[in-house]
Amino acid sequence: MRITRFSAIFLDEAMTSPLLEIRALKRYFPVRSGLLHRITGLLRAVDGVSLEVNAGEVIGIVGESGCGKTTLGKTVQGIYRPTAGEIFLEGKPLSRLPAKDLRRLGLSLQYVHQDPLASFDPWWPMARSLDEPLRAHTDLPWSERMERVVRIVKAVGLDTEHLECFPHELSGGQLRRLTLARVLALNPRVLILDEPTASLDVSVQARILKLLSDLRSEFKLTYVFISHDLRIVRIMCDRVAVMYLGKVVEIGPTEAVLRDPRHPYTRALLAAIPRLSPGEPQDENLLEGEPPSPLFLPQGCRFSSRCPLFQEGLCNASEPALSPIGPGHEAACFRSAELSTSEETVARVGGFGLEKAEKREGSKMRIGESDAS
Amino acid sequence: MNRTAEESHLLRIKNLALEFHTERGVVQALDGVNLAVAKGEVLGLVGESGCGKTVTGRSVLGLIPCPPGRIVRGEIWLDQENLMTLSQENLRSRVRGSRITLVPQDTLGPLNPVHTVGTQMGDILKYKGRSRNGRPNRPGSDHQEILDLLRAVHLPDPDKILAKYPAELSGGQRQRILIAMAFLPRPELIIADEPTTALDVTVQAQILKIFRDLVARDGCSVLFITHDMGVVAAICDRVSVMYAGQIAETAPVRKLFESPRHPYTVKLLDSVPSPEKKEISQIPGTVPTLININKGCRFYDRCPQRLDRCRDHKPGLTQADEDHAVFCHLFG
Amino acid sequence: MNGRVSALQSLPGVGLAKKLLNRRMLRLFFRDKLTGLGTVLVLVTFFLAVAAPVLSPFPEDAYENVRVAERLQSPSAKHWFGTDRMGRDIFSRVLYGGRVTLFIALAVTLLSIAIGVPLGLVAGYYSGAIHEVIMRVADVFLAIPRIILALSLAAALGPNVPNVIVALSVSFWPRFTRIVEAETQSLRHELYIEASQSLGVSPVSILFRHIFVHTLPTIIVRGTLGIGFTILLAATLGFIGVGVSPPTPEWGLMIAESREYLPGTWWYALFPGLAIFLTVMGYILMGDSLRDAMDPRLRGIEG
Repeated sequence: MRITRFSAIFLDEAMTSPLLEIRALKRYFPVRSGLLHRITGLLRAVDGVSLEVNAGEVIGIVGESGCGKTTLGKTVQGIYRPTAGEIFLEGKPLSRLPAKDLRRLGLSLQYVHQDPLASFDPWWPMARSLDEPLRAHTDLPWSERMERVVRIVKAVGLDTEHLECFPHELSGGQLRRLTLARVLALNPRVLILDEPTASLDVSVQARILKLLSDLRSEFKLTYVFISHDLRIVRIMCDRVAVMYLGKVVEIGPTEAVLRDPRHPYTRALLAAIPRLSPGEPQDENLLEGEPPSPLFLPQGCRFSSRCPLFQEGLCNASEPALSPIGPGHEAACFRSAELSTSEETVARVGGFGLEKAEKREGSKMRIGESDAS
Repeated sequence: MNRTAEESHLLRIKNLALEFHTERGVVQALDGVNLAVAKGEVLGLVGESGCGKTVTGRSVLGLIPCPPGRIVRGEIWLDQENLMTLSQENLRSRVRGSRITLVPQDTLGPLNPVHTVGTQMGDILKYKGRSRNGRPNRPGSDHQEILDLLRAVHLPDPDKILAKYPAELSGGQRQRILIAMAFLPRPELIIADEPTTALDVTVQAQILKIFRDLVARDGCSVLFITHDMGVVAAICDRVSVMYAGQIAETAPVRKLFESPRHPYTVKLLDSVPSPEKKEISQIPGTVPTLININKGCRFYDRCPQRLDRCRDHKPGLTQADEDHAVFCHLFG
Repeated sequence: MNGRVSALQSLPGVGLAKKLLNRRMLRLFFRDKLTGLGTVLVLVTFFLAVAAPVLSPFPEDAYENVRVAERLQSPSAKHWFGTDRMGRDIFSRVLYGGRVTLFIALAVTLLSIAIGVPLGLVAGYYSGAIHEVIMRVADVFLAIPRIILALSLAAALGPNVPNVIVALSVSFWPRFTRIVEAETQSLRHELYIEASQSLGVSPVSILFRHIFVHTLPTIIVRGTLGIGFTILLAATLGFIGVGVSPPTPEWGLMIAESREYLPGTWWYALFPGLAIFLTVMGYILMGDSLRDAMDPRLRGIEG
């Protein structure tokens, strides 16, 4: 089965304003220490992120652990209160809506946790966990709610017998499916998926990705796809935003960003991906060290402490803003022009495997032939 | 494989079978596992979770708890010594931590939270010593050796690091320390159990590079356990693919990636996402539970190319090539 | 279709029951012989108390009754435990005393749970002023030794059963608030609580359907141990004379009465004392093993 990218399916529903808009969002955590538990620092987990998410698209958020991608997801969903900034859903500002509207609208924005085992009450059988959102938001009698639960559980490829199980009795892949089923019960429009294939074996990962693609077309969903793995982002996402220490450093259509990365961090992330071709010399663009603590950000550009292109007096003087590079493609680097896709770059990163022929076919993609079994 | 070649292997696991006795029944965790790691070689042991790769590593170290575990048959040889005949006491004092060391996946658990990194590294040399390589045990050189090793794992300011407690370090730093600790006693064999799984890709790439350099420096052998085909490609010389407690295929790494023979290896490689790929395929079905498993090939239920005899007859070893062993009826 | 029906059947409460009564837990519970003894003692004393009217040979002796001729007789076939200064049958009075004592202990524990647990849940779930007010009030009560608080309250209120219950409960509820608050604090940060919150489930529902259920084992353990200690405390109040008033058959009171006649009439003090000892020990042994079975981490915490 071939899955077409979403833009094609939703052309008729093209909206003028984005479905979800995040404007200059910040989320800081106070750090307390000492005997008196005083606030001694601010952890800038998300430090000014702006994003527009269009209906039907899949936008990837990529970065190393600690870059703020999970905090971003949770703040957008409303689990954390933003320190500053505004979130608009269907053009309406979530922070200024009356409580009743917020409740209704807020439900169409759902977050799926990274750790499926921990996100179910260990003492509840699955049926009860899946019923919980329905019980909270509908007046349906129990038997009708169960019918809906059963329907959704079948939609995510599981059976009623799984409803009787407790979380610890199920496999990672099954739990993943059930976390999806639980939020789907609320008919959301936007799903924020936090590392939806973390800690899964590759063969199971492939099936979950396939399921996500199927659900997207079946339920007309929009995904914010948080991941650390560019390989998966490439398969799943229309656009990708690369985060480093709480900020988006590069954003654009997936193909453009991965073929022509214009931020040295994006390039380094690509270089670090292990290749499936033994013997091939490792890419030279490896980063040294680890990200600095978000408590003590470097002067100027946040990436300056690890950047191979660091230039004294330029990069540590001020912080670069996102600036346009190509259609929809922006990067926050003073020296991004030097990173443009010369033939040499393409040769080095293998053009990220994109041949000209593929490029023409770029808007089509598929995740495996589903084996008839 | 002729006899001399076999003798040249540092670690030889022969026909190892292992069971766990649980409330639900007997789990046949390993069934006839054969592995051989040559001197100076990095052998990858790759497979999905629950395939027995970690258990294999643990049994080499003699760390299978009995009960519930029970080694049914098989031999584990380290050079000229049969590890299965050694007592736990002997294993602990003469093998584990000196001739064979472990790089674990979890970076916090293995380090003692109340001692500094320096104390813990010093203890290794104090109690385990340097096992061999004929280097004189000069007093006072310990500290220098530790510093050299910390520099080799790219930890800046090694003196400062030595004074720190494990909780003050990041996961990547702790993994570097653990690698340094594993190389410190100059072991003959290192068992690396998913050492990069918990790390970010950028850190993983650094760690793999360090590992390669150190192996080249010391000339030790490595059994590298991982689930990530990309990591295998980056670091291993040869690779064994495991499925449900059995070895499916063993080959030099390039051969395995270029011409995989076993249907499981083929499927597994297809399902790995990579920058070069725009599509990944799925493997139908699920990994079988290892209780009351069928007598034949354990991949039977999911195999797209299965034959009738696969169900009841366990596939034996087939040499697809001189150095390419496949356990599959398709080639026998 | 079959699968569906059984999925429906498995719904409410089953999860909890399965969790509380799984095999591992039962095995842990009956690990040693002392546990068996504790459970047997609890069951036997409870049965004797309930069946006192049927079992006692002289039910009319339970309260006011005088048989001057049979004063202070030593144990015999007619009066198994001997008689007291009014000539009443001590065996019957010990049985009836169990009713009074157990009633007081159960009432105190349930009342303390009813007050302390909801406050603990609320204090643990919300931070800020609500939390501070509840916990500081609880701290004040905890700062005064339980026996002194109960003594002064009972003395002030006057000696009867309801007042004893009030006095003992007032000194007991903060203990439940404390432990439930601590558990709620840690449960509040569990991912499944966050998941429920993000699904828009109301705080009341989260508190009672998730958090309360998870604190139940602790509450049960504390409650069981608490019954034992409350029996002891109630007897102390009776002994000092600020507990229930005569002629109520209360074990502490009976021992107090016996003091004038000791050591000659040893049976007068011995049998009520034994009753206290065995009952209290039963509850404490059972509480201990419940704790080990439900949560080994709590080992060594005092009730």
